[in-house]
Amino acid sequence: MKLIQKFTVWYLVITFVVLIIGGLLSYYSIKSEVDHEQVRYLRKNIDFTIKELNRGIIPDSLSQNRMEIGELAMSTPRTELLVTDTLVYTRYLRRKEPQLKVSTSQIINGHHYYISTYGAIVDTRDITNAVVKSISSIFLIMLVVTGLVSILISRKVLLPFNRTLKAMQEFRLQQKKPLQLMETKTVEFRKLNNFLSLMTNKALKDYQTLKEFTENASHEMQTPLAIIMGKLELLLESEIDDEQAKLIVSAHNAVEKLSKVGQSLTLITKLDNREFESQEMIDFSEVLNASLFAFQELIEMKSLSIEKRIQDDIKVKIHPLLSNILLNNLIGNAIRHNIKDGIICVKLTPTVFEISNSGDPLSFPAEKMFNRFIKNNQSNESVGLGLAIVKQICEQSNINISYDYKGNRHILRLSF
Amino acid sequence: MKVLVIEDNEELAQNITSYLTREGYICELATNHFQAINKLNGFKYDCIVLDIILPDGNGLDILGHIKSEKIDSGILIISAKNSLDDKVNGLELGADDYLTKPFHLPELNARLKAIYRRKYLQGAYEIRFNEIYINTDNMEVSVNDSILDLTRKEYALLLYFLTNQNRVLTRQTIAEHLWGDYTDNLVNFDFVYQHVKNLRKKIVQADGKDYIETVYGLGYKLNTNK
Repeated sequence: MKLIQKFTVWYLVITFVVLIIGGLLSYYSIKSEVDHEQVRYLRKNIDFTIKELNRGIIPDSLSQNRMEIGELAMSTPRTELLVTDTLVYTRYLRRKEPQLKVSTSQIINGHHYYISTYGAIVDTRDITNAVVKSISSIFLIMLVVTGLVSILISRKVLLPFNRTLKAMQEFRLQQKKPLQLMETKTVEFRKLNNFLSLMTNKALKDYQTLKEFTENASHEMQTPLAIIMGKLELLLESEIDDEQAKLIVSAHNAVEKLSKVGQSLTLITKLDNREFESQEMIDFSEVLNASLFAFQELIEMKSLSIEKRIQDDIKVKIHPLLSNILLNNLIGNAIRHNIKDGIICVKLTPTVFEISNSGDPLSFPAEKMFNRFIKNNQSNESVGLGLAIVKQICEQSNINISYDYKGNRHILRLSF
Repeated sequence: MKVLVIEDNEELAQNITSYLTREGYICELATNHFQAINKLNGFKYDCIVLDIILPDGNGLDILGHIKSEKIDSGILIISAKNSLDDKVNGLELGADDYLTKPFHLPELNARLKAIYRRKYLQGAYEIRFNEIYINTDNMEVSVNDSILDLTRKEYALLLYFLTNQNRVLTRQTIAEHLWGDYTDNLVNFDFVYQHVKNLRKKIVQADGKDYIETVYGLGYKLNTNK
């Protein structure tokens, strides 16, 4: 439900309650006002009668329609003024109608007179009807007006808010563009915009710092590694014996590996930072075939057989660089973790890319498959970051990846 | 070949110059932007090894300077940044090749020679080493005038050995030269052994000398003294 709709509904509910209370109040105030006027009118008549009686006019001549004068015993207690309701049969309506009756008893010229008169009171049902009618028409008008006005107002008042939402949706750290928000006079929106500007600017700054740090860390680490590597290579050519040579080669390999770990971690960080955003559709079939071709020699060298079922012209939305890394890691793994005379199956359809290879079962639980630095014992040479990178790439490219081990085969399935 | 090495890290620069000097190059060193510009303005070099990140100015600026001054030298960029942007920028600004740190010194040597060949000999370059003759133009190798039937990898391997004569090349170094990015996926370097074995066999079969020798525990070496 939209904000403005919520406001409107609440407003209408409150209006409804208020109108009901207002209706009741106006009902009672109308009734009391009308009654009051009637009583005043009737009292005036009675006062007139009393005045006439005082002048000595005989009661019978004053008794007329609606005016009743009777004589009471002197011992009866006097009543000042009594207002009561009564039902009187009206010939006109042919039914008994509620009437307002005002009566008093006065001692005039030594007689104790009882004087009473009555007049029509407005039927409560009539008042109710009138009140309900007017209140409900007010409510109806409100309903229509509020509805229309809320739509119009929401467009105008909420415009800065909607613009902000849109700007936030389109905001990307990688673009390094600060958030452009609409000027507004509404305090809340201004607060929101200020807050968002501050937050996104900070995020941009942090992102930049992190990126620089990653790059610098990589740089600072690779240069010493390059020095070590060079020194070892120069050392190799000096006069050394076999034992020393072995030590140097081990050190050389370790440096190599360290550098790979650094590069892989840098890549993961870059993936985390989502530095490779791409809306580009690439021809996955072509990239896959090219990758397989590049690995052809390694596959043959390990005397592995390969089974390809690759459909042509399969387009996938993924950064070109990432697609290369992804495929190289997956195919590389399929070769590396294979057995002698094993097999690799590659299948590509418009929705699924599946690569499976023969191999021994995992030495760790399958859930840990995509964790960093997890590797099977037999291939200690690997760094253990390949599948972590694959997973990151898939997450970033909205590709679903799953692992299964069936019939002595490792199966990795990517669903687009 | 006269080479200018522009590298702020002295240890690394020393590695490069001592390797290249032994190779018979004339090496000069510039450790900062200022020195580099000075030397470039004063002397002529065949090749320039350029570190892209320098303390007083980006190496890319130097590249710009080289281009604007129309200095006609081959340029090899070395950088710790493995980022694609730098690679593309560097190559677009006119560098001839790009090498990421850490690199193998034999690889650096091979790349420099390749640049030199391309730049000054228009690619048509004949390498003659005793009875072995290589025409890099059509990638033809002959021993004692009989043409060898080499695979692409064996050809690259032979060229690599000839570029780094009398140098110990570890299996790792060779693997990286031949397979580049795909080296990560090689569990061991047995296949290097396979390629070297095939190459040696083919040379010997053509009555060539077996120049390539195994250095126990290390790798291989092309021994010119045989």
